[in-house]
Amino acid sequence: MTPDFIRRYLFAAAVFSAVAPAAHAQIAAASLDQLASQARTKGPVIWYESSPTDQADKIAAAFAKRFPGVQLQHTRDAGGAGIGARVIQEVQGNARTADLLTGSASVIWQLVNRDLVVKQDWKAMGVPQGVGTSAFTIASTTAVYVLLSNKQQVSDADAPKTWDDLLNPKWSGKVGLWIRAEPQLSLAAAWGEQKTAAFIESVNRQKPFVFKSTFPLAQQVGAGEVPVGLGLYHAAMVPISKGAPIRFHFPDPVPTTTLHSAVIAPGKNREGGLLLALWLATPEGAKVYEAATGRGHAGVEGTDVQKLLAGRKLAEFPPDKVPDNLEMFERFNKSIAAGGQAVK
Amino acid sequence: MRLVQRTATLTSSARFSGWGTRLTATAVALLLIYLVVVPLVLLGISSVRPTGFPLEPGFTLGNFSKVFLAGDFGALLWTTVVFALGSTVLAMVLGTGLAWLVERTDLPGRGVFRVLVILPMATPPVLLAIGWAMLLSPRTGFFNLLLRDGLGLGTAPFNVYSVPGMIFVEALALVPTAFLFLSPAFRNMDPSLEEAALASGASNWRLIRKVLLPLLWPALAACAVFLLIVCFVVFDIPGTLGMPARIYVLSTRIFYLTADSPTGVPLYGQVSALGTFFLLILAVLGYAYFRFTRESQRYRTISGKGFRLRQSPLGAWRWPAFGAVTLYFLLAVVAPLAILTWASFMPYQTRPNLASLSLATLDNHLDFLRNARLMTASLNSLTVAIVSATAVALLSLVVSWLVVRQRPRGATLIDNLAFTPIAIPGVMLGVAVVYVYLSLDQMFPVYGTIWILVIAYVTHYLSFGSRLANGVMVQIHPELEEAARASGAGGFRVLARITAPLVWPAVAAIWIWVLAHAMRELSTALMLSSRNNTVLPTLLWDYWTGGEPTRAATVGVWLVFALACILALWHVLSTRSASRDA
Repeated sequence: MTPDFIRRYLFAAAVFSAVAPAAHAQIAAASLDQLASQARTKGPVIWYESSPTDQADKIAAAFAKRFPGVQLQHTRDAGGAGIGARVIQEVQGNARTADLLTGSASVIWQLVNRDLVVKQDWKAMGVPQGVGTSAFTIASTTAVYVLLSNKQQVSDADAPKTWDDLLNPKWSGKVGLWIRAEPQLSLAAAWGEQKTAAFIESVNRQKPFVFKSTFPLAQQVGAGEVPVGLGLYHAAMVPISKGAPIRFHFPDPVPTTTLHSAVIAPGKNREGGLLLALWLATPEGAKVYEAATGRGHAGVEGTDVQKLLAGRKLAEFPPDKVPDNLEMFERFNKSIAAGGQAVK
Repeated sequence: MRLVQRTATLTSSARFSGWGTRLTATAVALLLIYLVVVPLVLLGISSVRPTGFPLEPGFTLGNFSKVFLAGDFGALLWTTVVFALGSTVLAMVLGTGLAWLVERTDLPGRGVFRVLVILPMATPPVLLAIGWAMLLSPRTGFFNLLLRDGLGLGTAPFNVYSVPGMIFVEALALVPTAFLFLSPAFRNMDPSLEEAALASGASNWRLIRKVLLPLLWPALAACAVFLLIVCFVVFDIPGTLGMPARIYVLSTRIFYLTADSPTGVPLYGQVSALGTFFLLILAVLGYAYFRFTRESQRYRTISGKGFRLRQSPLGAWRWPAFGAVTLYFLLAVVAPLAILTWASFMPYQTRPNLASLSLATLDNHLDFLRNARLMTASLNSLTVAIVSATAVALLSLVVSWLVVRQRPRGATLIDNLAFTPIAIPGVMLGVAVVYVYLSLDQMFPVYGTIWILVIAYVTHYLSFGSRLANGVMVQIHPELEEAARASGAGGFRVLARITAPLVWPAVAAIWIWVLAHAMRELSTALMLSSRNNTVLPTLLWDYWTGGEPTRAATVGVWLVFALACILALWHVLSTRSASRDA
């Protein structure tokens, strides 16, 4: 990866964080109401997304209150990758499928490549470039990675605060990681592949524990089984809100993974899907989503996550560059899964 | 051994009339082709598609090369074999011992143990693994800390995140299956053979070697092969205890390719290629199974002569044996359930100690009882489990009756078809069933309902049902049926009045086993889940992956409680029924 390449994507990340806050004001309430009147006649809005059902119920209730007569039906797929596969299978089987899908860029691009996503003119809808992340996608929420530590087992002074702190030999066998290399991929937007791969290898020499999801990772940090870890802010907030002894620090740069929404072309209520996507990008919708899931929209003014990230350097590839980075992502994933033996 | 009399197949006079057999066999074969072959064809197509989606164009062998030529495939296979063999051997030793003690000795509390043995099955394996992680994790495991502090050790003595840890927990989970396989075989052994051997001066060791083992051989072989195959495809325990420590087996590799694929969609092509490897393993093990059981008719022991079970007195070993069986239940049920119960009263996961006691709350349990979604999921779980268990039990009985007794043309095909689904990974079965019912949605609108779960479970669990029914059917001498036929009874009457009552213990065992497994099945349920067919395991998974292990523990505790109630009811009813018959 060339320095120019790196600069380009760091720039993209910087543009995202700088421009996005202005987005919400331009999505007009009138156009939302117009979409709602069209959506009302087309049955429930089917939404595929990864939040637990209890959390999604709260979003659906707020959505129904804001747009009476438009019913939101949420279907969860916790695996992430399974959401895209479900849409592909349902379309191939001529069955009712999602109207809106919210997921990672790699999932949505599989659908874009199969012509299953509606192209949008976000600008015409009042969505600025920072939130309308590509012609097919609109940012819906931001996953933020933080360094976690157990308050009872790790002193404030010893708690990892920087990326290098994770490599301290005292944490050998005591670091928790997510099995998916999402934070490392975003980190590569700032560091480049070579430096990131070397970092992954260094962390692997610490013999870390890897977890299927960042939620059990945070729980295990709270329980003290892995005293330190690299996890997700919103996943850590679940046990923290219940009193678990977990602290977190933002590293520099802070890797983020934006989850995007895409309106599915074969969906029966595309207007409803678009309505939901736009509403989630308004301060009202973003706050409802953040309150329900703990995962906020970094591009919408007034969200907690935006306040948390204010002034911090973020790292993430833009969504339309994800296909170019899949091989690197795969190498990172294999490296983490194999304990550092697969990085080339 | 002079047990050989005639084959297990009925003489021509005692068989069903030709057309009746052919009609039944054809109907069963068509049903099995529909349930088994269609998903397998989709699996095969998927393995040669570049994208892995069966209905997308293209042809490639790249999925096979990516899977089998990968640098770590040898190590992956070795770990899988060690895990599968280790778990099978340990489960067989414990299960055989338990079945013998409960069925054929004067072990104190045998009746209670017979009911309790089902409880480990009621615990979803993922919960069992979580429970043991809380007990034996190297840094915070309850037992580890007790031993470390009590014995003044420098480090924790056990690490459950290891291959031995995985084997230990998997074996604990599989013992009830081994028990259910072997218990009817122990119960159906004619004790006159043992008495004759003992009267002839045979030692206990000679009795075991020359009489008991040969008599039990078909059931032991069937059970070992079944467990071995289950261990090759099982995910929950290796996924929970192996993956955090980067210990992979074939099933966790499949999960990785499905859920954590870097491409954005599951790598179904590679998953299917691995699936074909499972089928190869099945073919080898299946061949071994048929070789083992080819001569099994020699060991039929239920005949027209009346007999009464002989119980071996344990003498001085009576209470030590009681202690050993109790220890198994402590390890398989009480300890993990206790730690999960503890977790269910906690706001977040924390180890049991007096300081944490102040955090105890009823919130998780109150939420369980008040949450309408949880109640719906409970009802769905119960409906799916009962319907699936009943369908599998009945279908297994018919399959076994055809395969062992009637032997119509195509009997071997029917037997193989009934056994094959065990080698289809739950994830792939889910994918295949989705395709089938999306295509047939106009005719059979089951997609997104609980009935698609029933279809998948019946397909998946038929392998267990048919193996168990076959194992028992070959032990039953056909002379009773022949006598009934000679007395003028029709084919269905013979099946209903003679065969079915004789295999009733096995049918009941199948029903209970499928019920318990369907209540806890996760991987297929996740692939088929939608808003309207939520079941308790998917809800439990929701909580676990959503960072709420204490709520997951609560669902698990109530799930085990519900199953315990069902089993107690079943025990009461079957005891009353047995008393009435007596």
